[in-house]
Amino acid sequence: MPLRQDIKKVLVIGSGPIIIGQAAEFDYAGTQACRALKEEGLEVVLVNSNPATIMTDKAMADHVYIEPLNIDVVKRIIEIEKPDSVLSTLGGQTGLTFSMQLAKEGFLDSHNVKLLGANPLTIDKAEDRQMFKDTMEKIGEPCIPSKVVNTVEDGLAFIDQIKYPVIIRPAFTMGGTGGGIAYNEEEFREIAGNGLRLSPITQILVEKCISGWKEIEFEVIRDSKGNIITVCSMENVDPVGVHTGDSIVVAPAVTLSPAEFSMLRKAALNIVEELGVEGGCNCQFALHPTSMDYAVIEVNPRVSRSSALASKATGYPIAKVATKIAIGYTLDEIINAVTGNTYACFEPSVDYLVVKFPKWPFDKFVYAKRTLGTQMMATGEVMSIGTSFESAMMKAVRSVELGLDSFNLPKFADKTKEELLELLHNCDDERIFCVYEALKKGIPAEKIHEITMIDCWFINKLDNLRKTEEMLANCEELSEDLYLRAKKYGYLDSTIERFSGKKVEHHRKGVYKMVDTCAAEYKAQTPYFYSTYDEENEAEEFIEERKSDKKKILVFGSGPIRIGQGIEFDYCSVHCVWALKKLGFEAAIANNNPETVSTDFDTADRLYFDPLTPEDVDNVLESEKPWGVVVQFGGQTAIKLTKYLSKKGVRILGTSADSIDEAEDRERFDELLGRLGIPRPKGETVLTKEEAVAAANRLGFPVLLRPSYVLGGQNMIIAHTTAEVEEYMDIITSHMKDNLVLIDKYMMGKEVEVDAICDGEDYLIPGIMEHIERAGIHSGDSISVYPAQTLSQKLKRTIIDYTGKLARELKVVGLVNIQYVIYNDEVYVIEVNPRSSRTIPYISKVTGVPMVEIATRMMFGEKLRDQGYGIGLYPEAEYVAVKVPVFSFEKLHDVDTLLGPEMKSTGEVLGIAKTFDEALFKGLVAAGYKMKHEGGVLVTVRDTDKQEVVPIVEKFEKLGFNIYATAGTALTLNQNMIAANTVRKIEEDEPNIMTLFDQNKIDYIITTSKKGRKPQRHSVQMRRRAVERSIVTMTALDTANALANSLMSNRTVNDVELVDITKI
Amino acid sequence: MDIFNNAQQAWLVLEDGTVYEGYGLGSSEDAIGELVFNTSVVGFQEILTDPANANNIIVETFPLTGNYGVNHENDLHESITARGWVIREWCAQPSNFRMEGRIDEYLEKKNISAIFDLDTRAITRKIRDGGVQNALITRTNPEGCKDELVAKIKAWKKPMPAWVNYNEKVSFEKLDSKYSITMVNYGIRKDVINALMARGCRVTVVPASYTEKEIMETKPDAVVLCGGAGLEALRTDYAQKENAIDAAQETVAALMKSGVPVLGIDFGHQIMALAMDGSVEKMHCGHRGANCPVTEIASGRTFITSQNHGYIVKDIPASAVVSHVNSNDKTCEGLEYPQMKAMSVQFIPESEIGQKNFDGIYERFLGMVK
Repeated sequence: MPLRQDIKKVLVIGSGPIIIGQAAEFDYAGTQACRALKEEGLEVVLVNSNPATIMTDKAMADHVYIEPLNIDVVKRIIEIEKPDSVLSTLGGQTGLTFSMQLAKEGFLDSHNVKLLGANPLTIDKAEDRQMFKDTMEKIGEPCIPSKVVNTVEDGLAFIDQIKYPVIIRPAFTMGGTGGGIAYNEEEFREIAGNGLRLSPITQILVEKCISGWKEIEFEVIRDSKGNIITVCSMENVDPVGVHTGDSIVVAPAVTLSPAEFSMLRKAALNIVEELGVEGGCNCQFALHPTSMDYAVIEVNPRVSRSSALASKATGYPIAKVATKIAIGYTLDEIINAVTGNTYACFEPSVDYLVVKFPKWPFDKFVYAKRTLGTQMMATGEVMSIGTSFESAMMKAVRSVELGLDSFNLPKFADKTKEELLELLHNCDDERIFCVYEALKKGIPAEKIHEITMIDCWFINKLDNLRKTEEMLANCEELSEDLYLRAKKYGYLDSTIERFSGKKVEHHRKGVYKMVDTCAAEYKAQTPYFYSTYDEENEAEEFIEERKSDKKKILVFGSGPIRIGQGIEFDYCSVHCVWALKKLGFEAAIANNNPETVSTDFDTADRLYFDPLTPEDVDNVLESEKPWGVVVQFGGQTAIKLTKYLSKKGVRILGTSADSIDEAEDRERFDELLGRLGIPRPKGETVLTKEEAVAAANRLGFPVLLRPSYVLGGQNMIIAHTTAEVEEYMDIITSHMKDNLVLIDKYMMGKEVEVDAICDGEDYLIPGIMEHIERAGIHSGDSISVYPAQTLSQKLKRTIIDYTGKLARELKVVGLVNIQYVIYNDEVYVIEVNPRSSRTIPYISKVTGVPMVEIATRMMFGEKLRDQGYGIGLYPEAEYVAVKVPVFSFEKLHDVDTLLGPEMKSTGEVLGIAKTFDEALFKGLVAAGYKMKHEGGVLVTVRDTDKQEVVPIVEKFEKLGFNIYATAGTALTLNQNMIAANTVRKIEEDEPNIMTLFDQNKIDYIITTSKKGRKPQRHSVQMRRRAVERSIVTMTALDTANALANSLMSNRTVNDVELVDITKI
Repeated sequence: MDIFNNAQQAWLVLEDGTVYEGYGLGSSEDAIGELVFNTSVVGFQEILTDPANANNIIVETFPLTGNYGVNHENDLHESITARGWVIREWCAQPSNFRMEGRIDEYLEKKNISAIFDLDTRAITRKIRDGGVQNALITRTNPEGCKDELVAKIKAWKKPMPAWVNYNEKVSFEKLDSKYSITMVNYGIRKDVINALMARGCRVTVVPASYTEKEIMETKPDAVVLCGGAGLEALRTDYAQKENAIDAAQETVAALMKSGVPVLGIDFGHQIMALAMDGSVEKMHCGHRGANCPVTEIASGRTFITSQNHGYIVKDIPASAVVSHVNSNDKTCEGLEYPQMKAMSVQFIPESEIGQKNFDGIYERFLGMVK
């Protein structure tokens, strides 16, 4: 069936802020969906609270609402826009849940809106635990023994029958939030109680734990005619027990013989048929390692992280095809964009192996519990493509940016065989490295398999890497054969040289093969390449066949999503590519993140899916021979390449390598500030603990400590005492040897941030942003307001002046982000980043200044004055935009929620309104604050905050909240005529804070403490318990004050004006 | 175990003179055959033992082979194998609970010559762009004697497959069989026999040389013509066998007209078309893989099928209507003969990987049996 004639205007619901378990993959899916809809001439209405996404671009939809994803808001948008349909399956769990709620309430029917993509029955059959079980039983597909329960006691009764260990899975939560494995009653009570609280329908599934079985996935697509195909099979290296998002995954499945393969494929097709899915569907199976027993783990009748991976792994655009199916097309009518002459109704065939490797936030959260389980913890992932498992793994370990180029993790190097046998039992993010070290120490693959249940196939392949390493180490000369073998296994020249101690005499460059969905059976059009060490270079052929006069530009992407380097850099990279194409260039992109729009093969003219190390980049340069390269949009990942590229003589477009160094090198930067007469907080550079302590005493406490090259405030703290400086230096020197540490006087003032575009002479400041929280909290974790609300004209003038001076002096060509602190009415510079920043997407959207495009134009010598946006400060927008950070604390165990200089948020939302109050309200709602107007507030603050907290608590008291406080805080409050109930601390006798938590008496917590981080600390434990109970916890007084003000305005989401940003 | 340890050099020489250098695996004998590629990711053992590949050297597009080892149950035919195998990498430490051995041992036992460490994608692209051609796998360095070798490779013609000379009659039977099916041995596949038996059929396999009369003497409720790669072999200009194809056509025409239900699969589909005055044509590089989409015209539905053929039915017989087409290149994938109780398909219904798709083919066919 072609396009349905009754569809003209479609509402797409996005997935909201990036959180663990729901990340950039939905921007990729949503963007593909919007483009697929527009391609058909349909009018698209989009709602998503996440401003960093490409899907919320004005170009992506006809009407774009960056509004809280809240059922009432969605209803109001439907009333305003009157779409005839809503697309439910492209916006992750969030989009799906809203769609179902609207359908079930009858709201869609009463407003004549059709539900596209999935019907409520399909969704219920897949997501409601009991219905799912019943459905599987009906079609004879085995499930794991399990029971849906609504109370802890019912769960315990069931466990009497099936015995421990058991897995707890809460219903309708994403990424397995609130789930876990329990080995005894105590653990069960804790996990189940938590899971029941988190489930919107207070329901959990208790199931027999089948840890150790193989975990196999199939991505299936079905259309309204019943045509059904599997796009891709995937096998988890980490067996059942580790969330698939935290597993190393290969595609296609490799250890299944046709018997098991076809059994599971058939099961997947049966299930999808029975559910009646029309679109994409992910089916997860557990397969017994030594029998034909299997069980269906889970079915997701929507696009997902796995479908994004399958799309990138095969070249088959699942989200696009699913969208076309939703609006009436069938698979046999949709052309396969890869070949251009075959249809979407076929099963892709791959002639390479794909590895997905997760990116975890544990480098940042050093105290977090690293054990992997049923709850996903990875913030992002990389994908690599190779002609062998070995080479794909080697590429993956480079791409994931752990500072490694092999599977040798220094911390395991000294471990004995016995220690390693013990360590292999730890199922954490470093297990694969432990396996490798175990092989090196002579532990047999069989033994490793016994402990880890990782299939011997994978272990033996890793052992091939060990053997290669051993051969390199023992070789008398580096023969051509050995060198080539190492290259084919994915070793870099530098790695080969390090292991062998020999110079590589004849460097061999990599060549490229194409990802074409059909294993070369048909001639394909896809400009999608990965490197190998063969003879033919399909990328070169491709370029040769399409020779044009256009200059070629290579853009470097930002690698895996991690805290501090998120989707915003993908937004910038993609916009740069678009701008380059618009300017008449051929744009190529190099990146390795499968979740993103930048790695969609039709974004750039050519896509190189490979790691971003110098040698990998060399290969791209050799094939692509670009006229110039762009590094300033790919975050730190791309910026890191600058020095190398510049040394090679590659033309770096925009700000020069020297300028980047000048901004990042402490001494040079200080000198620059001296020349310009711009003050900054006093600071020093140190290398050892002793130097650090001495410097701290010279500067005076408190001081800010951080390594010289930082990302998202990684490993950054504020120290108030000598002991804290020492603790910090111990950690830093154990992680990174010989890394300089910067130590600065810490000024607790107002933080202001500026993004500017510069052409080398003139500069344009689209907006000045002001943070709600004072300096000391990472800018990524602060609530940020545009335009700045409280700055005097004088201060603004100073900021504009400094920005101009810095941009000019640094000869910035393109974007620059500058952070200032205002202390005692003086402006100080904190840092200058001559590159794109986190705030570019939202400032571009709110001000209407296409910042990335203009910055790209600057790189080719265009002048700011000719762009039509003026120079200097751009006129302030009519709207106020408030960016509110979103955290994923409930997914990470033992991580302190106390905000500080180290970034902790995973995503952000935006509130846009005519007034600051309304914008703040929207932002808070969008970020998930329930904005309750009654209940209890718990206050427990450090001594230095006790006076300042008084007026804030007073506001809550006036609002009618019951005030609880720990002894010291309560005393101060009572002395100030605020009736606060004293409550005992968590470490004191009951009844204490925990009692209040359990009685659901606390709705907000205001907590500050001098120290945090260590999970043993009572204050950290209290905050963790609060996170587990989803109690809003504010760890900065400024945040609490803003919330109190917002509550006092007495708004509801029904009062706010909804803004279509395409009309701004 | 390291696959490169003690590996001997081997060469793949193509009819057009291209030489690829790799390492030998399996039999060390020279092997000449028609070089074709297969895009299946799993099922290498089935591909190697599909009688349709009897004269072929298979290029495996998936780079990692032998991952799950070998198991005798996976063989589609117990004695027929492909002539050679061209791969990138084989797995020295396979892992699967069903496995009985490694692929290298298997190749030796089956006397299949293989070559590894080659860029199979490059070879596949060559076949895709230039069409199928003959090739040789050898352990002898072709340097110095390339011209002679190439001449030899060019001159090679597909020989008459061994099964043409099989003259025994074999029966496969379960206790409660409902139908009696006679299968003509054009190179039968085990999975087809299994599929029929699963549907209550007693299967009797008779030699390809049987006449219509001899076949009907087995008292079949229906006849299945299955097998592959026969056509070219039967058409070979080896003088003494020249009439094999004519004889087969005659037999099939007589069977179809006799009123006994006839199902043609793969080569059977082609020979039925020829018997009814249709024509067949050699393809550029064939359909070989587990991901071939086929549209059933009556329902409009598309299914993913397993295929392994280098010929297609070109001119449709006047007595036939097209029931299935290839969704990509629109070639004929199935025929029905409305005046006769006869139907045929080019793909393999319900082969291991394609299972679940086209479950209906056998049912429809058995529906003709009254």
